[in-house]
Amino acid sequence: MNTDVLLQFAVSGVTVGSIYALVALGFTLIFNATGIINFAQGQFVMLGGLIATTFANTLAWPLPLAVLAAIVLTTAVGAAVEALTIRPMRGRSVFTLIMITLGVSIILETAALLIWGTDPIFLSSFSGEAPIPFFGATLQPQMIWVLGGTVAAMAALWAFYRYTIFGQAMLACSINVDAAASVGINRGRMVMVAFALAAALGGLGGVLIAPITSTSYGIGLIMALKGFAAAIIGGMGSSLGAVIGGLALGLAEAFGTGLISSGYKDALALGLLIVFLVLRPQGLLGGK
Amino acid sequence: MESRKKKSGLQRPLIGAILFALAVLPVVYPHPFAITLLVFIGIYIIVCTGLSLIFGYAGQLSLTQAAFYGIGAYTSAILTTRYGVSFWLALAAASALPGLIAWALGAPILRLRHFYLAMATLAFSEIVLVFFIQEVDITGGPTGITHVPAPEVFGYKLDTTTKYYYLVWLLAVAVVGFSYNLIRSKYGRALRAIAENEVAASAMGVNVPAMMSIMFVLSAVFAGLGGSLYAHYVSFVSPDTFSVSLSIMLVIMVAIGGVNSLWGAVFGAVFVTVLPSMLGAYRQYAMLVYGVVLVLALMFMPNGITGLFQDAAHWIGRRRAASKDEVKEPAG
Repeated sequence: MNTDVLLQFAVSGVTVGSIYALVALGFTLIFNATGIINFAQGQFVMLGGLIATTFANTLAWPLPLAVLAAIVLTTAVGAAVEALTIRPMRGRSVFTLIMITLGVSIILETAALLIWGTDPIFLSSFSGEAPIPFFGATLQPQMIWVLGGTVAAMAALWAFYRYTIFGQAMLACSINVDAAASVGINRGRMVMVAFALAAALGGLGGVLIAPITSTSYGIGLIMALKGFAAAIIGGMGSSLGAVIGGLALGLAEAFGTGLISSGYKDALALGLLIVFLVLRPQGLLGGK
Repeated sequence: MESRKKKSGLQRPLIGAILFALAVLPVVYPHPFAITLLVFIGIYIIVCTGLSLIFGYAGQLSLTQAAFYGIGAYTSAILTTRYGVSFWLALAAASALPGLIAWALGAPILRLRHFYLAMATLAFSEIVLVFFIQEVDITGGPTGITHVPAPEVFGYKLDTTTKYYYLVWLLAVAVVGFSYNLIRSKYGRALRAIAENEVAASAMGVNVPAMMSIMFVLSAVFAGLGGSLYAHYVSFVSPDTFSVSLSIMLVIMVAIGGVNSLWGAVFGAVFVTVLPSMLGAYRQYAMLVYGVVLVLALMFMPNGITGLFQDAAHWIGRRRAASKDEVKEPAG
């Protein structure tokens, strides 16, 4: 096995890992604002991709506009989910909230099945298909979009936390909810912003990856599992951890697929999740 | 104390009536479709009862019941089609293997709680599914295993739906009866204590890990039993039957029925089995309905369908008490 092949594995690993990182960031946002894990997180990836295909393929909108519309609509769905099912349940048990997000996940998945059917749908690449040589490996142009989009999203998230009043308030909430409330931060609004942003990140992941892997109604649950695995591997609650976890998981999957077996790709990632949950639940970055 | 006495006084004739109805139904109303539905309801009751032990009583969300159900179905199918093992032996093996796996898996993952346990069990289910699809030599791969024989009981072949109905319901009643006695024993009290407050339960001397492990193993044994019954009834097994969405659906059954009562598992199994056939041409909306009903049920009736009945019983009880008070008041 030569280094070119290994480089190719690394390239595809980083690409897929970027999407996992976006999903994991979504988990992190909601976890920090509410302490719950949103099972429907993966459905935002599914929605983003499928809504984009409707605008771009069916309605023949220009691609940039279709992508933008898909992200905006997915964000709106995220906010609606929070307003309709999470906000009225404040003060209820964690157990109930898990079940609620699980129910929402099923509703979104079945709705997508009824709207878009079962067939996988491709979105056209953002800038053509001509492969780009990269040392010994080849890059699809879309891979650069995935990487660029992910880095841009991370930068925007960082700036949001660092420079906006909302971001600062959200950071305060994740450190100590009661203290945040006592200085006048509206926690309810923060939760809504967290859901909207998490949905936006998921939707972005969905449109970025749809030209490479295609998309269909059923990808949400496995995406949620992988994104959760990424968040756990990195250390739940940490944004940097989410990114590192996503990339680590993507790379592990790509090398596992290439070197061991492609059929066991998902099993490998999920086995890794169980191992981390049991042996190192604080993740790679978390202290003891 | 008094209310409990009253309740069981009401419950006993009710259970007797249900058992009698189940026994005579195929004779009185031999409608093939109804009997088929009831066979599936019976199988789901077995699987859901197992789930309600770990999910309802111990308060831990396990999303792996469909995987154990599948392991049971595959074990039975493989043993009877390839090795000519008898039905009873296959049924026993199909119940034992998931139990064994649950015991081994439970030791590490039952230490996890809430979301973490839910995600870990979900991940395990996906891994089992990958195994069903990939290990073609063992499981037949995506096409699965066909020609699983109808069971033979002491030389008597259970080859009609009605005969099978009696086998399934005999086992379903046994499983529910066993579980009912279990939750009324010290185990049941320990479970409730765990669900209420784990630290307190542990401080009172409940061996939390052991209790959880026992319930997880039992839930897997029941799932395997149901899986074996399923395989011999439909005569084939394939991976897509045992997908994660079935695990979620089973959890929904129990949650809709009400997590705090074994009746919840029964109501849930009936609801989820009957709904798709009621929807007819709109069958594909079934999952949507489950999702919406689940969310609404959690928001507006946290104790499920069973809770509604209990509320109604309480309401009647209060009315009675109130009318008594009214009579008393002028005197006092």
